[in-house]
Amino acid sequence: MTTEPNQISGADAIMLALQSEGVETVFGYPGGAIMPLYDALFRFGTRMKHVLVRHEQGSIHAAQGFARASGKTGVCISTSGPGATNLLTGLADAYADSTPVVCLTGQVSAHLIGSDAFQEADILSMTTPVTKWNTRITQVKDLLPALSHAFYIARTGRPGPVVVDLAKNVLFALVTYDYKICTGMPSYHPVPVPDPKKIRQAADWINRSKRPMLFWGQGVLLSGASNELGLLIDKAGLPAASTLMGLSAIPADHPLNMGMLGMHGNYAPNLLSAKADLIVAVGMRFSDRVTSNPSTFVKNARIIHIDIDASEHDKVLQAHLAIAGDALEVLKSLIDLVEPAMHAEWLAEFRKQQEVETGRVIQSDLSCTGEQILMGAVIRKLSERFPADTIVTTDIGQHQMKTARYYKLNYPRQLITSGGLGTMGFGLPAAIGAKTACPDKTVLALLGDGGFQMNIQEIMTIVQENADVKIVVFNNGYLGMVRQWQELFFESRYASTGLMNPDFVKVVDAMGIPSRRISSPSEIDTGIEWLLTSDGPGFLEVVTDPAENVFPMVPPGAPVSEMWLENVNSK
Amino acid sequence: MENSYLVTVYARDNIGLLLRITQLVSRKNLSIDRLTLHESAMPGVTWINLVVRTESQTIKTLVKQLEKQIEVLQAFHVVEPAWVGFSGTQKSKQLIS
Ligand SMILES: Cc1ncc(C[n+]2csc(CCOP(=O)(O)OP(=O)(O)O)c2C)c(N)n1
Repeated sequence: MTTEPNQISGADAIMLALQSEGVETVFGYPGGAIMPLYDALFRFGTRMKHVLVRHEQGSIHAAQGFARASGKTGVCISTSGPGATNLLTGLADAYADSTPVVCLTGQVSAHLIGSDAFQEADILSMTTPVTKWNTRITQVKDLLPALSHAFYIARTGRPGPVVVDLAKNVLFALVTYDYKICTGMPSYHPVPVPDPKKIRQAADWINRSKRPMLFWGQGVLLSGASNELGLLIDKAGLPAASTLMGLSAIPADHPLNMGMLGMHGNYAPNLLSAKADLIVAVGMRFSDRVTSNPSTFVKNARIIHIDIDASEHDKVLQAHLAIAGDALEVLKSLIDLVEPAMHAEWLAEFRKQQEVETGRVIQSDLSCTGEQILMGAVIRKLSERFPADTIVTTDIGQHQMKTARYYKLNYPRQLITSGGLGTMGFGLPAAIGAKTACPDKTVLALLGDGGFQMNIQEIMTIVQENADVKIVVFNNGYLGMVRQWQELFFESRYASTGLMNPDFVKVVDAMGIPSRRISSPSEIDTGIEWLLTSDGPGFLEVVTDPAENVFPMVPPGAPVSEMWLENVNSK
Repeated sequence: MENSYLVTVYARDNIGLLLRITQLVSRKNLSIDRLTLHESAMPGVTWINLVVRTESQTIKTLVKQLEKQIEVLQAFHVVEPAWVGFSGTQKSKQLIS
């Protein structure tokens, strides 16, 4: 091979390309096949920060947390074989939750591919169902175009994860650096142009509706349309409710924000969705956690479905009007076309059901009058004491639903939680990523004792990075959400949900983060105060009532309007 | 109602393309009755035909999901014309069962 002047190694070219894409931080873990890239990273010095996680799953969840907090693309790097297979759960999570992530995975050298070489795994095939796009690079000439496509694809349209699998020879091979940021691809049209006729039709239906409701999902956050969403619901007087993934787009206390849809959502929007005559759904995909049984969902309403991804239209529910387009653009047009309205009687029905939920669920959830601490009460207090723009990450389970219900979210992108895949182990590494993206904001990780132990090793990443993350683990001694289902639907046969836990305070303290435990309601205030004012990262274990449940609840398969306010079996 | 659908896909021929197409079908718990690939008149563009039996709503979603794949230039479907059946597996399957 002749060396031309100005040629650099593939690995060095990757570093420059990352820099061109505005990447300042990568999350990763080294190994044989990716070593040349780590060498380039080393030589790149302070121009690129690398966060060394303790398990590759942690790196991709951190990259996701980074992306979700900032709106930028998260980047992670792993070696071939086991390093790359450890990313699979995170890829599936990012795919389900439309998170822009680019993963650079090492691969054995081109001449070894297909020979069952050491640490060879067919990552291209394995990641196909969980990536928006993936590619394997075996020749250096394909490297730079692939990287620019990867970043373009990950962030545009409906975002998603991309894998670039890099044969080791490519990292050594020489290439002329002629990186061009991608601005378009012939076979990929990420943002459909909404049909103005359909938008006028939608406005007309909104104007004529007597009992309209607006549902929104993460699409609103992804398109940066929170402000426009607020303007639309204010002008047209639309009671609005969010999916789990859409939370924080509209402030919790906004009078038209009726809370969360779905299985553990709020009573009023679930109940009254059955009475609505019009549903305006923006940037959401009618997941089964929202609809329960789709054949019984919003039966009396015309449905307008606005989504950037046309393949979501009519997938679960047949919409009466499907608008393919970016939420921001469609909402802007709608604001001009809708007429001011109040719907006072319809709103009064919401108020009435809100009072029912407050009286039968919320008051007791938040009060902690017994000897045991309730998660909901702590979560509400955290939200009152922590800075208003704190970024909150959660793990999966009861504490996640309690956070969605009781943490008052007021700023877009404030909540980072795993929605579509429901991945235990997400919350702690996601908090590391969020803190990296937003060093000036407080980051609070709310975790269950089960999920915490799924990625507990990332405590050391926090220590090594000196990342100021505040961690709360709710220790109920159970895989709480599963225990709740066993209580309700399996006659309290608690099969393998009781956890023997370590002394979390000792463990985390030994790893290097100041730690405390509280176990009685009288300690809540001082515990929170300590965590809030602790210098650098802090860890608070909250021992909670093992019998605490999350209500209201739509039992599986039931119409959402038949939501339970308490355990109907125990009455 | 179930029908046999002929799905046509034009896509850039990258390594892994066929898997990307077929996993979308198997994810819907459908099997592929017939599958052919040819190089199309456009260099670098593969022309894929596949036949699946399913409901009309599922096929519409499937084709939209195919179309949104980055390499796919175009995807569309028709109810499989009856005359295609003579060469197909459907009849032989009936004979077996
Ligand atoms: C990786 C993974 N495995 C299993 C599950 C199933 N699951 C959902 S919630 C849950 C219990 C979570 O328990 P814990 O972390 O203690 O939180 P809690 O529900 O008690 O708040 C389990 C096991 C899951 N969501 N993710």
